[in-house]
Amino acid sequence: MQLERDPLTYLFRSDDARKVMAELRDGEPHLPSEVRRKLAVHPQSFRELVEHLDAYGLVDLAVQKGSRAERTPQGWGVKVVLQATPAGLALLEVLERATHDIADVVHRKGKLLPPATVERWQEA
Amino acid sequence: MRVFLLGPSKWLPEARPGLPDYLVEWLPADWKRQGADILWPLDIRRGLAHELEKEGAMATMMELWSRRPTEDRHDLFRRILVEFGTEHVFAYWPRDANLSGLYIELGVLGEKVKNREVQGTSLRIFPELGAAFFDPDQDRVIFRESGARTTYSLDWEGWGVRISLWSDYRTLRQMMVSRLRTG
Repeated sequence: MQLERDPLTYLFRSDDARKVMAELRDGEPHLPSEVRRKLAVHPQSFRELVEHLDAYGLVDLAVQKGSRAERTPQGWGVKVVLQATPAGLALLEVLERATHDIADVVHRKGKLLPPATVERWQEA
Repeated sequence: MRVFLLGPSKWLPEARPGLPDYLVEWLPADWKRQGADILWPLDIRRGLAHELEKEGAMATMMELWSRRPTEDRHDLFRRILVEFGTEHVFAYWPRDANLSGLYIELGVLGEKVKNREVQGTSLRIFPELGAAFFDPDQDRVIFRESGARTTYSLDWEGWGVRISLWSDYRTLRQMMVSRLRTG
C-alpha cells in the first residue's frame, strides 16, 4: 500500500475516511463496531480505513480501560476503542473549513463552472 | 523524541517471510547484518530505528547498549528506560518471528508501569496483519497465539496502550514517524 503523502489529499479523495473522521469529531473513544455499523462500511473496508488513518496518525486504536486479554477461538483478544488524535481533529477542521469555502465559491460562480463540479460541491 | 524500539531478533525456525528489497536500504552503513540471505527481525528493527533517526528522533534498541559489569539484562532494560529518557516504547511485532523475548520485555515493562517505576512513557504495539488482526465487530484486536500461553504480556489494563496494525513495511515506517510527530 502506497499512501498519499498528504493526509488532507487522502481525506479529500476518500468519502469513507472523511465520514469516519466526522464520526470521531468529539475526540472521545468510540466502539469501532458502532462507528462501522453507523456508516454501513464493510468490515474489511473499515479495517483498511482504520489502517490508513492510523498510518497518518489521525486515529488511535487504544486498549479499552479495564480490559484484560481474553481467550478467543482465534487467539488472545484485547478490547479496543477508536479515537481521533489531536492531529486528526485539527485536520478534520481544516477539511471542513476548506469544504465549506469551496462550496461557497462554487455556489457563487456556479454558472461558469462545469455542471459536475457544481453538482459535486452542492452536496458538500 | 526518544524512542526505545522493542521486538524480536529472529524468525521462527523454517520461516522464510517475503521481505521487500527496500528494507536493506534502511540499514545504517556500519550495521553488520545478522542474516546473510534474508534480513532478520533484528536487522529490520535496526533499519526502522535508523529511519526514525533520519526524522530527528533519538531511537535506540537494547542491542545497541553494552551491559556494565554488574548489570543483568533486567538492569540494562531499566537503564534504557530511565537514563535514555525513553518517551515512547514501540514494539515491532512481525509475523513468523520468535516473540518469546518480546513477551518477556513487555512483561517487565508492565511490571515497571504497575510499580510506577516508569511514568509518562507511552507504549505502542505494531503488530503485522497476520500476527494479529482487528475485528471491528467484536471491538477487539486479536493476537494469533496457539496453545495455553499465559497472557501476562498482553495484560495492558490501565496502561493506555495503543495498537497500530500494518500490512507492509512502508506503512509501518509511516505509522512510527507520524506518531513521533503527533504523539
